[in-house]
Amino acid sequence: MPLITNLDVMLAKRKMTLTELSERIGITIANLSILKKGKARAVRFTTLEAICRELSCQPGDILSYVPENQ
Amino acid sequence: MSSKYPFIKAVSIILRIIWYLQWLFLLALIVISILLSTNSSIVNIDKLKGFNVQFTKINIPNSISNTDNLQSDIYLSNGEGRLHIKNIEHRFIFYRLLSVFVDTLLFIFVIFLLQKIFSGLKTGSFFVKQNGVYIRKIAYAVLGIALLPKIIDYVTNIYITNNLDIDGIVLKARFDFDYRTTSLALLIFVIAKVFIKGAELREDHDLTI
Repeated sequence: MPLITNLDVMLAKRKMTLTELSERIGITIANLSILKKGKARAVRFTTLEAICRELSCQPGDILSYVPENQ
Repeated sequence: MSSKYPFIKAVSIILRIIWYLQWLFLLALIVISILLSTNSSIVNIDKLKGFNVQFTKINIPNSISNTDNLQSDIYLSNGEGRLHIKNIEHRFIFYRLLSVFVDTLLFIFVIFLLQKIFSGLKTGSFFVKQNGVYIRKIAYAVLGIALLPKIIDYVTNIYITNNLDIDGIVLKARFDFDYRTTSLALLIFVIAKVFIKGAELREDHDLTI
């Protein structure tokens, strides 16, 4: 998929663990792990909003588009 | 885990019994075919030397006379019956056994797929795409059960009617299209399609964070 999740990068920048983020936004580690690995089919606006709020970032910091031929 | 679903466990056991019975039937069919081919005296295979034929006309040789003493011809028309002929060539019987053989094999395949579905259900995986794929395969097998034996019967009927000349009987080959089983197969196709689509939607839902 050309959409890449940079959640692990943002977590590292904010020095936060996945467990901590999951506790703060109320989403299970399993689901956050799916998002981190790029296996998710869709992301709810509410989830994106919660992640951006807790990591103090923009949606573009978490998701980036890379064309498949690159 | 299986004790959680006693009904599924019971159906699985019934399916397993049917599975073994079908294999037993197939084995019996093979044994009969071998006995026929070797003309064995182990069993009285003369009893087996009968097969169904479709006819247009069978003349009744002894015409009955009515009260006015007027002779009238009597015949049977457009029917099907079991024909017993002594010392008939074995190939005619073999052709008849062929459709039963195909029918049994396809039924065994259906039972095999049902067992696969039920073994998945025992572990609690109900709405998965794989089950939809199994259901689609069942639809193909049921369609095969509806069509293949009938096609084989029709082809062998043509062969038999062309090679069997019996005085007073006009044989004919007729294709018996099984509307009910074909409709059932189409219905299973639709169910499989809906099931696969439903499983995809569930997967999408599960992977939406």
